[in-house]
Amino acid sequence: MANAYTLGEAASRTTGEVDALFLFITVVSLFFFLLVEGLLIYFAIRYRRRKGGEPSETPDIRGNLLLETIWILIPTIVVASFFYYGYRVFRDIRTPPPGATDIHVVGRQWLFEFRYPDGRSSINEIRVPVGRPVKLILSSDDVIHSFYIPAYRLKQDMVPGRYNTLYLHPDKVGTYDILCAEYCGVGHSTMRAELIVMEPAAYAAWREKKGAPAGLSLAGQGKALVEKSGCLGCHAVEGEEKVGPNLGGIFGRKVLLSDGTTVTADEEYLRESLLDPKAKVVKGYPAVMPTFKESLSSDEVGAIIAYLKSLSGVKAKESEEEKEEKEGREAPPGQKGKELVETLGCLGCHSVDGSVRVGPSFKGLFGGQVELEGGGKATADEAYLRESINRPKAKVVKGFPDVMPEFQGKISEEDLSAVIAYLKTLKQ
Amino acid sequence: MRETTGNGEQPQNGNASPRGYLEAKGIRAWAYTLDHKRIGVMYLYTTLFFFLAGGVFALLIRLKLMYPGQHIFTNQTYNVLFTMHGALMIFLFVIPAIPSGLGNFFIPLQIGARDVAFPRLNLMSYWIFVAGIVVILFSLGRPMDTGWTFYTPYSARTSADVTVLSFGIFLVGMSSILTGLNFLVTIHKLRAPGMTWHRMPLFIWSMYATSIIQVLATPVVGITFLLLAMERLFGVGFFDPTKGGDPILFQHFFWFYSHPVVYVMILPAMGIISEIIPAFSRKPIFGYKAIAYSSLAIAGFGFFVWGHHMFVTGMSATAAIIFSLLTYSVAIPTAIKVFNWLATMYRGSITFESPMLYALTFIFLFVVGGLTGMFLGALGADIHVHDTYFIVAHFHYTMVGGTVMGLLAGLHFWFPKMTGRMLSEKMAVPAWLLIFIGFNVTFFTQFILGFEGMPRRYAQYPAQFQALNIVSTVGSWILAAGILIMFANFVHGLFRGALAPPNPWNALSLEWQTGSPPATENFEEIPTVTDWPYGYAGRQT
Amino acid sequence: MSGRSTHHGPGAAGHEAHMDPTTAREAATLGIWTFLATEVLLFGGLFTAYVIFRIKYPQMFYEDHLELNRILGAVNTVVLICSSLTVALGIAAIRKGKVMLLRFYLFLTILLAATFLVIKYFEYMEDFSKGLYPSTDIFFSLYFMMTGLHAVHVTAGITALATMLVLAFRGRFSADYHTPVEVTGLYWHFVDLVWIYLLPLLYLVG
Repeated sequence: MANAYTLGEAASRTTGEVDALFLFITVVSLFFFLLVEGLLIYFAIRYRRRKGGEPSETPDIRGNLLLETIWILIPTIVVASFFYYGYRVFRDIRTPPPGATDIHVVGRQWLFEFRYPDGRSSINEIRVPVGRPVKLILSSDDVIHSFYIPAYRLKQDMVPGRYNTLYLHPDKVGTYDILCAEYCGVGHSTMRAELIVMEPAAYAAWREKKGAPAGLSLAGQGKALVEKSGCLGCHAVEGEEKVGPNLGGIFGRKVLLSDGTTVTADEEYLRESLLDPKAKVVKGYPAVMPTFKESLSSDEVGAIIAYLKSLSGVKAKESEEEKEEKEGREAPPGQKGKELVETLGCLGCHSVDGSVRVGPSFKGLFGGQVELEGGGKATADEAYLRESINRPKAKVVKGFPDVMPEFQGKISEEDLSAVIAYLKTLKQ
Repeated sequence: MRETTGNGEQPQNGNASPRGYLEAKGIRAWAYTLDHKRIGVMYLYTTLFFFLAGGVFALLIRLKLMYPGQHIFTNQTYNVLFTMHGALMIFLFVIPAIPSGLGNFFIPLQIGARDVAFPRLNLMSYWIFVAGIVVILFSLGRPMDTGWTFYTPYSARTSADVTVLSFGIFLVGMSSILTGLNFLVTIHKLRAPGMTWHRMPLFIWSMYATSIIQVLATPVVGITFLLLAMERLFGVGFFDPTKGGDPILFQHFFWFYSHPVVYVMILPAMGIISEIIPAFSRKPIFGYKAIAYSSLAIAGFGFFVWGHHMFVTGMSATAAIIFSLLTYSVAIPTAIKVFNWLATMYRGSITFESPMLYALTFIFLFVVGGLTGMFLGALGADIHVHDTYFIVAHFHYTMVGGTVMGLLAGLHFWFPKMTGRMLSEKMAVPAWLLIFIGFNVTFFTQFILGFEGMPRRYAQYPAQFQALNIVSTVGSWILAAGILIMFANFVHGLFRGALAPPNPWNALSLEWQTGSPPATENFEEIPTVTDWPYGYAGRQT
Repeated sequence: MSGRSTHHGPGAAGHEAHMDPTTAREAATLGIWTFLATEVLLFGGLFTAYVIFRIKYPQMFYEDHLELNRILGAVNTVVLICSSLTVALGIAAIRKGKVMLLRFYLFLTILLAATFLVIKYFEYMEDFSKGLYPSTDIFFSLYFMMTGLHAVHVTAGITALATMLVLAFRGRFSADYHTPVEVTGLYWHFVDLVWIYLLPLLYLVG
């Protein structure tokens, strides 16, 4: 794991900027620290009463207008400089870089899920090619998390119910820690991911090796959802308008609302329009759009937004390589189970590399002996794993919190077997 | 020259008992007392108890943090430990200790009154405080694990008993409001004849500003916790994104109180320093009006900066810029005070008894805390260190290096007055030294840890942070040792301390014109005041 | 202000003897106004939430408020305004030393306040029967929270008024001394004022 504090070549341009700001404030503060504390110590010594001596005649000094004016003016100038410099760095951090790749990041207890434009998704690991800026669209499915890359000196909260944005400039190849920085429960301190910045050639090779994602690009998924959710009943993509505004070119457009205000149709606006259409009604259109809060998951909302962006000519770089659905690809054993483990959220608590997080690691789990809370042992065979997934409270492993959710009724028999088959492959 | 008894003369108790207000014994003499001094003492005992309890939790936290992995405690237990440490320390110690403890005892004495404006309300405030504590203790059946900031949605959903806890905190807040109200009316209406506003001790000015904040800000946190309880109980959805609510709204409400409350914590401590520095430098306070009005300025500005706790929540750039600018504006009145204290020492005749040691330590450590706040007000820098150990170090330097040192300074300064006995300087100095060293070792390392990227509230942490964590833990042991010796000094002083004269420090404010301890009715005759209480210049004693 | 005060034994009554009557009256007045300021901030949090959510969900607020019983709301408004009148008349009476009249008006005020609560009870029951609960949506969360907190304050007010009534029966008040009644009256006017804000915000949206 990379150390956050590295002298030498900075991982990103933001690292250098923020560090320079810190250095400036440190130097100026150090000056005032030495001045004030120095005077404190100096006066204490210089004006101490000598042992056994009589208290000296102290002068009746009650104020000094000039001095007091100076020590109001100088600190004011100093803090104004801190404010301004801090604002400049902040502005740079918040400036959208042109040509950024959009990557959605969803936090949920206790993992980070990354969804790429080509439809691929990964858990706790994000890979990007060096030199190409990235726009992270952050949200959460449950409680507030925070996305923190110490090496980049960047952080932004992941708040359920809204999108936050963070821009990355991956300027140096390497692996960097991503830490959750907003307390979110028992798994907060083990909720970590890795940012892997790769040479372009290595990145391309990795994508080749991983093979085409077995599915549509994110925008492609969005297109399919728009078609099947009935949006086209009221919204045309282009041409003659129907009941609601056309979707072509909608992203980024300025929109006049029924109350007279104007907003920009960004990700947050589109998300709100889907989940809460009555919040902002476009002027001149009837307020009849139904809500999709119950019918669309947050991932699906993200996909639709990616599609709408593509209709505005906003191409997330990698959606150019839109892959068609691959049918009946022969999956290696455990592949289906592996994908299920990733999508069902198991990795929020269980690792596959042996490290202990909220729950026991899956590595070496199958077939091993397990000590249970309340005494007794069990062998982690198929029946045990099946029970743990369906009714986890039946047997809790000693030393672990009793927080595993039940999957009974939420996972089909077929999927359950696939998961167990995958766990079997994770030997010591 | 004031028309009061001089220094070092007969106690004003006259024919009354040398035990003064402590004469009447028994539980009922305390539980039903209307004497502000006894109420203040009860608050001090209660809050100092929670200082020790919170300190135990701190030691347990630091013990666990010697190991990067899950060790000694489960992660869940660790989460409970840091939540309890924060909640107990803040709500049951740092906020009430100086105002309700020392403030209750000394405000009437310093303004020449017999009691506060509403003595029965005062007693009621104390018992509401205790009721709140009892309710909080009831919540420990399912102990809190949210962090003392209780952010939603987590706090609305956790199985910890946040509902009962919320009611407990509501009660504690009510106690705070009523105390602030009492002090405001007292200071306005009960000053002795001749005590104009500009002849009030600066401790009174600071308590006045503090009371304004308490009265205006605390109701907001009251409604916040009420709403949190309602969300858990009845599905009220203001903070619930699945119901169209906004979890960030909770943060706005919470910090609208919790930022001003840090000024409730620091202003009384600063007031104490303004009393001690002139007395132990034998020199008038420099810039009386600047210090007085800067307290009001801090109280006022402090209401407009809450957003600086929320820079990374996704607020608009405009809002962030405004909050950053206003945050820096609070630094100016604060700096003014520090310069005024230094200027007071200039050409003074300084002695270093324990009150002065702690007062100087306050200045030293609070300056560090304040300067590190300069990083946090800068938008570009705060993003990196928000929610890391840098923040933890910053607020410990200001709250412990600041408020607690101020409290300890006040306790050492006023111990003879409250108890009628002297503390042992022989015990006080080594205790102080251990506290000073231990504190810096514990918390300075945390600035480094935070800058390096160690987030706060981490039960487990990346292994590269272990070395500094061990150093910090060792510091906590040194700090604990100092605190224990200091408490031993208090206990020793209570039972075996040398009898105290009415004015051991030859200070000039009115409380020193009474006996040590003062009579129940404070003054035989209410004094008439003709001068400010900082006329130390040129005095032979 | 000079002179000895009463000894502070356990349970000493009439502790205001440490202040002369004028100061005591001024202190009580300043005290109750300060307390009302804290109440403004307490309700202020809810009013702030109201503003924020009304801007966000104007449609919901309009549609939902139609479910509220505006007739009962209006009646309750009249009830409370009358109760403010009766308590004011009671204070006017005791300023002239008319204790019997004070008792009468205090009693009337309590009656009206209780009526308010009874009507509120029926309103809530009607809402529940229509399936409208605090958890229904943000508007109803606000409605129940704001009127609920207000009702708590009405109840506290009834307690204070009842205490005044008891003390009035015990002959504690006169033309020279009736500060607690003034203070209670001021509190009661505030409670009335809060309702006058709540009414249009909740019952008369759009």
